Amino acid sequence: MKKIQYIAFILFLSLSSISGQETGDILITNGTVITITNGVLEETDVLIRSGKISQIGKNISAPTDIRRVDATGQYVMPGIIDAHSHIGIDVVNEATDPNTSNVFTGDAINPFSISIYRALAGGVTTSHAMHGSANAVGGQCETIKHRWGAIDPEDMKMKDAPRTIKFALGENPMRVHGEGNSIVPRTRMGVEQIFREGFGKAQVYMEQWDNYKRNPGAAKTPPKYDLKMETMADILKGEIIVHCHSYRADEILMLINVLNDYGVDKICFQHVNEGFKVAPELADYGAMASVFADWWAYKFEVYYSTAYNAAILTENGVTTSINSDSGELIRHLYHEAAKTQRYGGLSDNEALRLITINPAVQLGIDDRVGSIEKGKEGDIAIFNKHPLSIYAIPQMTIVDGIVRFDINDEDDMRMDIDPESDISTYIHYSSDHHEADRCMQDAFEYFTKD
Amino acid sequence: MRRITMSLLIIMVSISIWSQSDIPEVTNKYFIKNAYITTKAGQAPIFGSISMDDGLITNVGQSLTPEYDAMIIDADSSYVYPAFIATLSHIGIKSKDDNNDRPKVDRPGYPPNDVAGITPEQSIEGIFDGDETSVKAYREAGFAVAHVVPKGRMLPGKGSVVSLTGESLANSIIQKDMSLYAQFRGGNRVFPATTIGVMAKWRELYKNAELSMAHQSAYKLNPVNKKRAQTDQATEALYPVIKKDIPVFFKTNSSLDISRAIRLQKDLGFELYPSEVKRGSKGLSMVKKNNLPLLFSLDLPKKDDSKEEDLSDESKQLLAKKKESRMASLDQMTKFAEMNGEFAFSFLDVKAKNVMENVKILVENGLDSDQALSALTIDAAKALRIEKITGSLERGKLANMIMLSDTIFTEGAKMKMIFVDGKKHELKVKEKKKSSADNGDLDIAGKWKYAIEIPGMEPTGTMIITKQGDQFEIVLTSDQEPDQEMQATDIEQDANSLSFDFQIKTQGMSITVGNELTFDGDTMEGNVSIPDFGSFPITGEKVSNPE
Amino acid sequence: MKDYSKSQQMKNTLYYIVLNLIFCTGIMAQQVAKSTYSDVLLKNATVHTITDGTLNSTDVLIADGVIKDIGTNLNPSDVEVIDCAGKHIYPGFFDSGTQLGMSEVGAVSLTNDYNEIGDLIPHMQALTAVNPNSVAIPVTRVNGVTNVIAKPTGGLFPGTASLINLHGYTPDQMYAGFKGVILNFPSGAKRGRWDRRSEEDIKKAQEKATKKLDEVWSKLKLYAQIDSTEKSKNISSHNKYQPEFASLLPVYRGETLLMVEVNKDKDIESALDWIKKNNVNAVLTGVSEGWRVADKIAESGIPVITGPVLSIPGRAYVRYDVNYANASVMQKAGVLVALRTNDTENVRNLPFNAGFAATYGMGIEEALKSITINPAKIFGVDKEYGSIEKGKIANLFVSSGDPFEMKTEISHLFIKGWNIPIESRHTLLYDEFLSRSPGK
Repeated sequence: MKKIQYIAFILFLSLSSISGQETGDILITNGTVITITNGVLEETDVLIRSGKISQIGKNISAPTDIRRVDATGQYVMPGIIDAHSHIGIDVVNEATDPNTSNVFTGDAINPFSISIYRALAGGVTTSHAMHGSANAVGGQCETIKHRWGAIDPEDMKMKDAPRTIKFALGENPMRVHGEGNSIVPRTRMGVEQIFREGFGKAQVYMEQWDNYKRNPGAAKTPPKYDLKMETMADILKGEIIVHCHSYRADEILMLINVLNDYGVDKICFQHVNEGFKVAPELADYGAMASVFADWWAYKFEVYYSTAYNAAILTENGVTTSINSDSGELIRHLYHEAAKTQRYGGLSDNEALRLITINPAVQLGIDDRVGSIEKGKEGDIAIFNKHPLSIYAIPQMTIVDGIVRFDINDEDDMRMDIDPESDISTYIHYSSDHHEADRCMQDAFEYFTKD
Repeated sequence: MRRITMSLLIIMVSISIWSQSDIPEVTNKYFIKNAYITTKAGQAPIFGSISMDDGLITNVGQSLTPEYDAMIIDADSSYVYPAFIATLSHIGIKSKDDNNDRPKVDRPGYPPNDVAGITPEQSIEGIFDGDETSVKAYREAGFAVAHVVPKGRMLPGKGSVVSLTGESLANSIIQKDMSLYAQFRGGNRVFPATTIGVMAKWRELYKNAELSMAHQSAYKLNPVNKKRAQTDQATEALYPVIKKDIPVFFKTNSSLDISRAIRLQKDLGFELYPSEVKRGSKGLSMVKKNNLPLLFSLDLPKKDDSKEEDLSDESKQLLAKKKESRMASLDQMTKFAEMNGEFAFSFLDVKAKNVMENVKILVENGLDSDQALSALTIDAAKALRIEKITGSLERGKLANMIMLSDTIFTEGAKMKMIFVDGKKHELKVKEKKKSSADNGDLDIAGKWKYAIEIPGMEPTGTMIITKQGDQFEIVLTSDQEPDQEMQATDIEQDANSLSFDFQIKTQGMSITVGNELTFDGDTMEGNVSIPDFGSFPITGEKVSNPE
Repeated sequence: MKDYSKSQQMKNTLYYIVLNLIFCTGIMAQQVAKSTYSDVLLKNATVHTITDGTLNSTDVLIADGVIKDIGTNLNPSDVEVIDCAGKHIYPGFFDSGTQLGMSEVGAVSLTNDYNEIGDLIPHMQALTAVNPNSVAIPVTRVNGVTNVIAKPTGGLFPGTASLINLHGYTPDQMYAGFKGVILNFPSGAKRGRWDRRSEEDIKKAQEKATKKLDEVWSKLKLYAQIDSTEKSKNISSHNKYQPEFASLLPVYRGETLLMVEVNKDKDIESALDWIKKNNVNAVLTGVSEGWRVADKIAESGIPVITGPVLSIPGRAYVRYDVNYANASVMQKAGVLVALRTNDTENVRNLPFNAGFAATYGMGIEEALKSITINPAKIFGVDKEYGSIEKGKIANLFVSSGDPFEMKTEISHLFIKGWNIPIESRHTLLYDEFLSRSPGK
């Protein structure tokens, strides 16, 4: 008996130790291929070799040992990209200071989080594992690929994806720091000054280090190493894309002004519920927007919202995406994107761009993912019906040419089981869908009374 | 008045203990004969003798003759092994109450180092107490040497290697400040509060320590036109880490923690011991790839005793998976050994009395017993860089050894004797009163009031009993010494009776009080025994159930 | 003179129009246009009656607030005719569990009126706290949702829910003829990710709550006996004011529906036993894990209100889509199923929840029933609501196609015969800001 268990265990280990860095070969045949950037191709094959899309066309021939997936009657689209999520990380907020640009969510990746698998089951292959919105300048974020089965957190990272950082405006930083700790910011005036202080001090910091490096012998003492200032300086140098949690039109304009003053032009506003009010200004600055399909009214700063936000922004020329910010919504971003057809009448391709190439642009990875093009990474989602239809069911999700979700997977896909946990626990996620919203995770205690 | 009497009583008791334990030894030389001696883990035992003098081994062999002034111990075919080494532990550290109050700081992002839990300069001096119960408990479990680190948060301090003689730190210390102890445990709502904060703080502390260290040596060379480095003790405490003079023992319970520690190690370059690994099976190849050693926790996951026949099919499958997961924890040492990984054990979360039991569980589940012994002795010594002085029984090494009634890890093998620094400690063999089979579910958790009937006085107090899994925890307070909380140790249940010890400290001395209580619903009665003073009836009643 | 007056009149009219434009633009984002009430003939539509199949090229006549007639080539006089060729008519959708109207802004606690203090407060009336002017109401109904259950949440008996129409100036105007008392059945579930209680702790808390529930029920029994005796002997008793028992009395007597909120599999089984034991007229609500005990629910004959369909499984080891399929599994087992979003501002997603249920096994027809006739039956209002039938209240909408599909547009909406403009804060902001002027 013991032996049988042992063998089972060995099998379990070997199954669960697919390396994350692996890439695969796969041929998807005869599907309706939604390329995003090059129209819809009927009855078309897509060949992935060594994790990259190597060929798109009819009747592609490939070596016989390559796995074939018959997509006849099915829809083949690029893997969905979520520009705002908090899945797959153990820590969301280091809520101790209005500026925590020294922390990295990439340090807290948890490849065993079942949310990653559930996202894959919704066709999502890449997500932006963001720091939360407790601080005006939050932590640096990590773009991850959903290589379910990987064990080393490093294998989840999308290598060489541009660096990104979370900023946050409005109620959340005001609540955590102003109301919670009685330190600036308690108002939107204070929020602005956190950025100005960060950038202003970073300029001085850079100057000090430049002087020191130019002639270290002459320095009376080396400048202090400050990871926050290093990060702020890198933003000023254009090495980091700013992703800013924001809601109100006035605060959005405030940040544009601040960034403009400091010459920072890589900016994507997140949530940006009132972005529609300042769409021309956003377009003019080249700022992008990553929005909810329909979330509103859960707090005061989103009371004056419209589900037509994505459509208005798109029509005004702002590069827009639909994000989840939630372990629930990330499972059906294709459905969230389709809501822009009811709220603003976007075309199929416009709607699908919101969850593919546009978020890829926002994360600076559009040369690698976000569309089905030769040479791009082999990230594919296959649906039985058109993905914008309510009746679509994801069938298979492929990352780097490897099938990471298959509708025929077994039920229990957990990779990591606590040997001391209760064997079965049922969690009733509160009816309130914002329970799933993890933007403020790890931060609530900062403004709850002792 | 009553209080004074109590104190007097305690003083009397304490004095008698001191005088009893202070009978001097007549010689520093011992000669053990007729023993099966395993000189080093993995080697076949020899039947012979071992001699020691003034704390060191003077000879090991088959036909030795004792010196005239040695105390001869006839082992009577018992088994002698090198004594164990606790590679990473809090042995002898007085448990500091974890303060969960929110610290008062002006800016939670910039707390003072001590508030943030950053005290790498903290040595065990002043917080290690040879008298602490865990020292004795570990010694009785076969340990002669321990690597002791302070408790705390991100950087609790430096670890030292001590001899578990039970004496003062000055007499016990083997290697002072030979390691840095680190955790991912962040501050209490101050920076760094989370894992990502801790990792950021590491990078900042480390880079700044590198800078100030470089500046200090430049200043030493030529101070002209330079400001002297303005640094602090935390920064300076990192210099030996940067120079790789001392390694970092990083508490990494899981493979995720291991990967995070490796991330830091790669970024910064210090010498790393991933430690107290409980669920590391998925991280082993990662560790091996980076050529790191490991310290596995001896705090093993408990067995799930759910009866399969009571479970649904689904629950049976879930239970099987949970068991697999437990197996992975029990099997990880063997897996790592197969990869030629170097490992020892760590003891941060395991109680002394469970050590041997848990090693046996590992051996039953496939860990080679030589490997297990090696990890407890010579490999532990290597991890602490003290293999030249202990870890095996060789001439010139410390006289640290244990004598057992049977081969080690064998069921029923009893520890009879332990030598620490050549000092003999004999163990009274406790007979278990009854099998644990008839232990019912004793529902006594809650708050109790007790009264002890000592003629002329009646000490009273409260006793809070909590049940963690199938273990009881008992905290006592005395109405006479309300500031002192006493944690019960050696709790044993026998049907509806509990026996346990607790230590009471007064006037700088501590005495161990034994208790035997029998519970009946919401009342209890029993005896309290104070060494050399007598046994007194105790009664009590439950005043409230647990919250 | 005449000319002058004419031109003056024209000027006045122009002035009026301009003023009206400015005024309307100014308040656009605040308030939707008024509804109108007149007889309307919906001509040549595909009518999805729900109870009587789908009728092609059919006319529906709305008059006096009800569906006056259904047929081909209806030709009444003096009615507004709306050409519905190529369009579809559906009965208005029911969301069987929401806080719509009871909360305006989630995070602003003083705008939240659904969670009162107390564990035994069945007398708290949801209808009292429904704000007819909630901005979320128009946002909801333009997606075809005409009726919702507004319900309190909180302790064991948090209050009494009401069925409302999503149109009206007062709660009484909105009231749609059903009230039910909520029972949060003692739960053995963790309340969320942050709930650190062990299974043991949860079990204890559940046992405590169960004890309390049983105590309430035994006292209620006595209360009912006393009440019966007093009524039969015509004694008037005013020596006690006990609103909680007074509210529970009709539940005890089976006259009022008890809405039993329960989610975990084992809890569902306990709830079914409890309902049977106490012979209560009940509906189960929530029922997230109904799929695990579907046969038992079916056997009990007790109907179910479940949702949101778009939600995360409560166990890490179950299949990712169990919540999508939950309603379908129960329906196929023979349970009468209605859906809910359990939402506030996004009750408008009800059709999409039904769409997911349809996709994951239920099929379109049953999914439609689960938000129309099924809830109407559960609430005992199926004579008035839940299908397109002659004589029923005119709660219906006209769409370009399948209302579950996001692409579909809804062009007309009627609630109690009122012709409701397809407007909400969201559409008005769109109209104003799509091409903002001044632009940049």
